[in-house]
Amino acid sequence: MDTRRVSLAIAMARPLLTLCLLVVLAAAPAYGQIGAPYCFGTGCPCGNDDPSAGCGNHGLDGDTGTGALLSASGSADLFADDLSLIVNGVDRGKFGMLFMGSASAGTPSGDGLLCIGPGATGLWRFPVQKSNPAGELSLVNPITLSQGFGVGGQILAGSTWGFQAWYRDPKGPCGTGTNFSNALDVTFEAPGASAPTSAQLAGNKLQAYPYFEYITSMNEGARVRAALDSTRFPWLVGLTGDLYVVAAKGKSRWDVDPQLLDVRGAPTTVSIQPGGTKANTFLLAKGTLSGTTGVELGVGYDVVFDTDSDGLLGPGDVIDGYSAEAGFYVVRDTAILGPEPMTGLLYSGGTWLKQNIFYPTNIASLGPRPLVVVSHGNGHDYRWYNHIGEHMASYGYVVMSHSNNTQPGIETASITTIDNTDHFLGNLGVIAGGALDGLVDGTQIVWLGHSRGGEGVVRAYDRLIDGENAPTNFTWQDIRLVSSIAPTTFLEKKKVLPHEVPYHLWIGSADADVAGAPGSGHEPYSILERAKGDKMSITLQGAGHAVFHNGGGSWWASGPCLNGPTRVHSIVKGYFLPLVDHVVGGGPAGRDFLWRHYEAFQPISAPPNGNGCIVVNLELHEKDGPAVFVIDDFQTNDGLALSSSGQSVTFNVTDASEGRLDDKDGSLAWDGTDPFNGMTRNVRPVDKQKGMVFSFDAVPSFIEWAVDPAQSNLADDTYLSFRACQGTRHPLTAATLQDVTFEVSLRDNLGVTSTIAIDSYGGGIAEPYQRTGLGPGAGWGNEFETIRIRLTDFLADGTGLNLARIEAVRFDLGPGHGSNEGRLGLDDLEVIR
Amino acid sequence: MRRLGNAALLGTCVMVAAVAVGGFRGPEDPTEAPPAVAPGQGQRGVWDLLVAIPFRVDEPFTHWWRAERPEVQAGHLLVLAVDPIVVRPRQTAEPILFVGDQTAERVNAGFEDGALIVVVPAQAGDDGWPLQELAGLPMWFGEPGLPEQVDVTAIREARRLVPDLIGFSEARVEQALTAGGNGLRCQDQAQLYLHAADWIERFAPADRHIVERLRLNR
Repeated sequence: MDTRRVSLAIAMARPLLTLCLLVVLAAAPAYGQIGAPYCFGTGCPCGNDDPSAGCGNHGLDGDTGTGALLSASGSADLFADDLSLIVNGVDRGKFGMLFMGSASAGTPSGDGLLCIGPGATGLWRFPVQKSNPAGELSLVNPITLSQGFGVGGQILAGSTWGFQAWYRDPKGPCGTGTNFSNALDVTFEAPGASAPTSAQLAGNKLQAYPYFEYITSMNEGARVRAALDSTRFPWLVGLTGDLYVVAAKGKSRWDVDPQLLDVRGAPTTVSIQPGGTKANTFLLAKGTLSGTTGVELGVGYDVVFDTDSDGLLGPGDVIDGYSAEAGFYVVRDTAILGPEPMTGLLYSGGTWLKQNIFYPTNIASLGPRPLVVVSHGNGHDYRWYNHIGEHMASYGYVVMSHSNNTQPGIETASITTIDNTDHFLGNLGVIAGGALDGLVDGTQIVWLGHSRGGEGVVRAYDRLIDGENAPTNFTWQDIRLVSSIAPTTFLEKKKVLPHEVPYHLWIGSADADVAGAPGSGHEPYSILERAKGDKMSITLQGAGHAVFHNGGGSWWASGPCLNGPTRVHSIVKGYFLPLVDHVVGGGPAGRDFLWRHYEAFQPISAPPNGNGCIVVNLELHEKDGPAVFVIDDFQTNDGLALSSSGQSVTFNVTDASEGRLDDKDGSLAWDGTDPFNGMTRNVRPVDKQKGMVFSFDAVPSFIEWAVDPAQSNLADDTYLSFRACQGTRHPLTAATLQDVTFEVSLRDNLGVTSTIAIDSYGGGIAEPYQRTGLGPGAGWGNEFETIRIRLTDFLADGTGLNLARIEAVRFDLGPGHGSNEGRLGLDDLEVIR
Repeated sequence: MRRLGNAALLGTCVMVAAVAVGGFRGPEDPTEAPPAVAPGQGQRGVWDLLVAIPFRVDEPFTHWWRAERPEVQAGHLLVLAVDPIVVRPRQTAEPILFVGDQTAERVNAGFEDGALIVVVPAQAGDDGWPLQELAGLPMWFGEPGLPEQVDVTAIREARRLVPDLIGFSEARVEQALTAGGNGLRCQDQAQLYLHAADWIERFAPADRHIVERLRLNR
């Protein structure tokens, strides 16, 4: 059953749905009309007529007077391939399939009528599926899927195809056990025939295949390019048109105001050539596009290829940004102060209610603003976070850093966080002379805690969820993000759970206080692993425990290549702003900061990666749900040969193991007895985060995951994602001490393969921080980082890969594929919508 | 009068000398772990009792420093000379300070000056003042942990591990009480903290940020 593929919830009564369909058919002109239904259930085999759907069945409702209804949504645009067919009224968990061919007279078959025949087109069957719990069968991306059919089976522009569904109905009225839905004809249109074609256009040129990356955000001052892959837009080859960069409008405004106004003064005239992406990459701006407006993180732009050069967006044109989201964003320097003057003050509401408050001085003109609460660590002071307070206030946030009762422990710290948040929100009429009254959005709260305060904020959230505390002025729903800097892990797991709130973790690899060493009892990554919502981490090599605050004193750092407060604060400020902007405010411009490699994309004035001492590793993992298809997260189906999605895994990498990501002996030295050496993702026995480790050494090596056939349609998904780390102090890690690289391939049902090297986009998998201690050798804990590859990148330059029928994901490693050798950890191989 | 151990006597002398030259300084390597102190060695990190002041409060406050979270009506404000390495603030577990059958609340950090100002709850008598006698009361740093997790059983166990500990002598306590002056009758914890701030300022000037916090009014 493939519930994630069901994009529509047709819950209304069938007669009403049919009525709606008929109304649409009657009223709508060609644009927006999807399919012509016919062959309803009249003259059914045993009198089981249903004139509003297919012949009557037992179905989900047990009413033999009603049958299964086939309907469609989306468009018939050949490039968009967003036609979605859905059949409802089937019993749950029953096999069925959709097929297409030519219309024919309804012939009794089983309990129903067969209305589609081979005719002139042939009869083509889509994959068999099981109906979902709602009794639905569905089909998406029929155009892409049809490319895998034999000659004559491909859906082409101008062709009309009839669709129908066959399904099992064991308790059906006529006793044959099978039935059919009604039928539906769809005439497919050439790309852009009735509306502009939406496509990714803006991004960066790459030196290696896929030669271009389509991205959401780019830094102010960076060159902006657009690429039109002629193999994916063959109908554009030979055309000369104008490339526009337009202030982002959003689809609703485009629909009423199609005028193209180039922000550069004039569009760029280009001709589309054969030769794929490399032949059709165009420079749009040499760093001249502004990323600065008000307190916004960036400025949105849409890119339009105006094929008829009429200065209007219309059918036939190609647009990046025909949605609520802009085509791309130019982002400002997030590491420097924003435009708003800010006010800072000290306030006391009682013994443990001392607060250092920052807010934009002109807050009255900004309206209610989100609140960031900072909870310091043990021996720290609430006035040591002015760098964060001033920074965020200059971008319009209200920041309250409070005294934190950390010495008794985490429970007291967590209560202090709750009490201070509640007190602050409840006393806005008093604080700052009432300047904030009515101007703090108490439904958008971020909790940021450091060390004991970092564990405390998670405990505080857990207290709210569990009902242990019931503050007057906010609830757990108002906490939109919890972020911990080097948190301790004193308390048992059940008390320190981020639950489903977006959770973010900062780690300094040189931390000499909460060192995160295996066996130390404090392994902060374990809190990240417990999170059930979106979870993110940023690991800064060379950063000690105390460089995150601004209180001076010892850095509490151990290891080489140390980075002090100036560098670390620049990175923290540069990432915290987009993190909050994206997670709390929903701004798309911040999303790229959470996963794109620091080497390729970083806050503008944050220290550059090039000097060897700035290594920043990012993890992003979306909340499990319909938008995530897990190929293998190693949490179930123990054993290397079977993925957690129940499919086969083949490999010839060596020394492979699957299990808890937990160093078992507390020593970081590699002695061959602990395959998970250096893993610090489970601090308690009840923590169960699992993954895989393996080696490759000077011979071509691979791992290949079969993809569940029921999940093989990736055409509507966006990224292939996984996280990986190097195994600390392993001889194969120590042999090179640099980024490990390898290749990732997708293979479809016809054996077509497309391959991308992970370093095409920037860095590879970074080596562990070269800190000593806990046994001979150098290298601290293993640092995971996320790798994401846009799925359409695998189509670049005409690979012919069919994303709707992916059969396997494969990693190739070793000579000819990247690094010669290495020891890697791996987890969360997923497809992200 | 109980006899002071040699280490305690040495500690007293060191404290006097150190205060005279500006206070203790901590170790250069912050990552150095708190030293293990063998049972029976002096007061296990508590080198001297410098000041003792009985207090009572009109509005009881919560003692967060033990699992039972008792309400406090009376007790002692103490100034202790301590081993600065032991009290260096860290995020991981710190040695827990015990005073008799109580956990003590540390009001300041004390690392840089080697002086801790602590609040020790005590049972109040009919007159509202603490009943607890300080003379002979063991004061020591126990195993690292979180005070909020320590209950009466844990305190007994901690005490059992240091059977040889002796408290400060009557004479020393008397000196400390004299140094402290009159007992404090406070309205609430905040007012008590204001007094504590004065002692921090005098004995642990490096903790001035804590003094500022305690003195901050709205």
